Amino acid sequence: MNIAKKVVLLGHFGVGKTSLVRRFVDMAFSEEYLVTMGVHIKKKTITINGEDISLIIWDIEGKNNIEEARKSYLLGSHAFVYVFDVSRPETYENIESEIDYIKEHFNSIPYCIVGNKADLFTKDFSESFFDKEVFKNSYFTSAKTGDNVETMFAEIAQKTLS
Amino acid sequence: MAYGNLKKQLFESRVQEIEISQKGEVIFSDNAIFNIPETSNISNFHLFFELFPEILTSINENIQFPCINIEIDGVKKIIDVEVIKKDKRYFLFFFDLTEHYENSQPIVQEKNEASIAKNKLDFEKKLLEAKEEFKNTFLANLNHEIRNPLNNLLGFLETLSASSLSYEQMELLKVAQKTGLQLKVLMEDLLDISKIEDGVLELKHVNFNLSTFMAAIYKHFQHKYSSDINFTVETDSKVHTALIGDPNRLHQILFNLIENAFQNTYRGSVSLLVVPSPNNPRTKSSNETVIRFIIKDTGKGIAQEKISKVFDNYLQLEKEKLKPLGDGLGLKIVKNLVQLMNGTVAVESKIDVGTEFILDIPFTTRIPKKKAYKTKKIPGIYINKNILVIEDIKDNQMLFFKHFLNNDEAYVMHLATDGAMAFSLLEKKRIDVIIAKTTIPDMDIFSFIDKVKEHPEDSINKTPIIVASGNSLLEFQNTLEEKEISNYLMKPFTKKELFKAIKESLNQ
Repeated sequence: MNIAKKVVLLGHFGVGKTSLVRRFVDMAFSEEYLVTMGVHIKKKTITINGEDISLIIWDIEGKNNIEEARKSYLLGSHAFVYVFDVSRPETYENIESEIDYIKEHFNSIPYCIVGNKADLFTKDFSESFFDKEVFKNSYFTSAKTGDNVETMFAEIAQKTLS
Repeated sequence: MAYGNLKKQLFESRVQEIEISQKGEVIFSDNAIFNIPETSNISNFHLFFELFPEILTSINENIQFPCINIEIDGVKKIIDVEVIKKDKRYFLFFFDLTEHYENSQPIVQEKNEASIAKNKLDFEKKLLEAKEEFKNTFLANLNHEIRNPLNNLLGFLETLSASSLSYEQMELLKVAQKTGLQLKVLMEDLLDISKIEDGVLELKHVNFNLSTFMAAIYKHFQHKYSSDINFTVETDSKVHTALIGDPNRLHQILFNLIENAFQNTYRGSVSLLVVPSPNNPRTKSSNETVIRFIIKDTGKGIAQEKISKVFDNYLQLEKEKLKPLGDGLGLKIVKNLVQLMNGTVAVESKIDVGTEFILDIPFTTRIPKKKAYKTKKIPGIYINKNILVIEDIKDNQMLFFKHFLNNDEAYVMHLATDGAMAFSLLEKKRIDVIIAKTTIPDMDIFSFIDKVKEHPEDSINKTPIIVASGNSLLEFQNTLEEKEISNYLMKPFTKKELFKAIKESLNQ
């Protein structure tokens, strides 16, 4: 039986939400930044524990905070992926309040935090920089190299089943 | 055609009405934008509607989904979707706003890119400020740590110079003293780097004699590099030598450049030539003079393509082969100081031939003072002045004792090892000046000053306080100033500076 789950990508503009979806669904990547207007929806079916799950991925336009996101886009969501850009502090400096908003308004919906553009990590700037409690269990992905992208989507899909 | 009909046609071609059941079955569609067959299910039309029946149950009133990107059979549309629930019936309205959204795209793109770029700049600025602050604090702390032992070193050397020494011992001692003083100046230079970069370094305007100055430079480097390298200093007779300017900064500049020349020269010569600059003011009445300093070496030279980078911060052209330039301060400080003095610096170099730095620096000329004849001191009556020194470290205590031993000013030193002992002495004796360190064992310096100032007895609360410290942080010094201390004595200090501070405090 094929189960469909709506996954909404949230986060600031330019953090790489569209690139993550393109990497995951189309296995493609482009360095060019093209702003997302409204919402683009893509689908990919993966198998979790022998079960096919169709992820209906809503790639919505980036906003400085969740409250600015169009509420109707979030209706019927089964999971949220909050994406930030590891190289731009303004995309994660208010992450605690963003996550609090998700917890408060979508209490039963699983979510995960994703630090994208991990390919920009260096010897002196790595995952260990994100040592605050809120980043615990975060995923660090690179849409450019594909690192951790499949794992992140598979794990969020898994969470929608439990 | 009537105008009303045209409007209706235009509107109808851009708006589609669909009625669906709660399960998503299409009951009616006018197919104005997309062809959606009746009896099909809306969830099969596009991914946007795939889970639509699930959300229909939660809709109690109208709801809008703006800016939905839909691509059907290669045709891309951007539509707003409005869902209207009426009498348990669900109506969908599609509004084709493709043109509107596509026209907005470049504006949003530009706005987002500008915002990202601005935030990036802000972040880089903050990062630079944080680095700058860290550097300044680090330099200040390093200064503080070095100044304390340096103070003892210079102090004891000064005391030693007052003892009976042979000619040879005295000469060696002078070199040691000079080196110590050089270290002191370099400590100040370190702080100056950040001051210059912040634009807060102030130049002094004091009288000095260029001939004496050059002789000292020559003596220093002649002593330091008594090797195969021939070192010469030559001053043209037409150069004004009675000057007003900042000899410390001039010393800092020349010291760095000559040191740099020696570091890059393995054989041959290093020379300093001082001549009137061709850029001198033409009016004879002017008391301004521009002096040209040429520092020339027969060293390995600098490649042409690297010359423009020679004044970069801490640049060492061939790190693996060269020792740090100057005393680690680099040529950047030289360039900044010369510019601060309204001068210019240029460099010419050829590989394996040598390098020449040409400086043009303006000074004010003055009429040299005639030597005053010293008159013999006539013994007078001195009234003892009681100086209370608060110091807990033995070496430092000893240095103070040595300074005050047999002094001509009739200063009598009293020692307290902590704040409590200091107050006990203050209450027993008439103390004329207090000299306190910043780290008193039983209280911090600010509390100590407050306690003195708030003491009920006038003889105590009006006692001048000198704070002796190696702390060069401006913020710290400003706080002390606000507490109205009488003097701040920066370590390392000489006996002369110590007594001058006491004298000034007594006269206040």
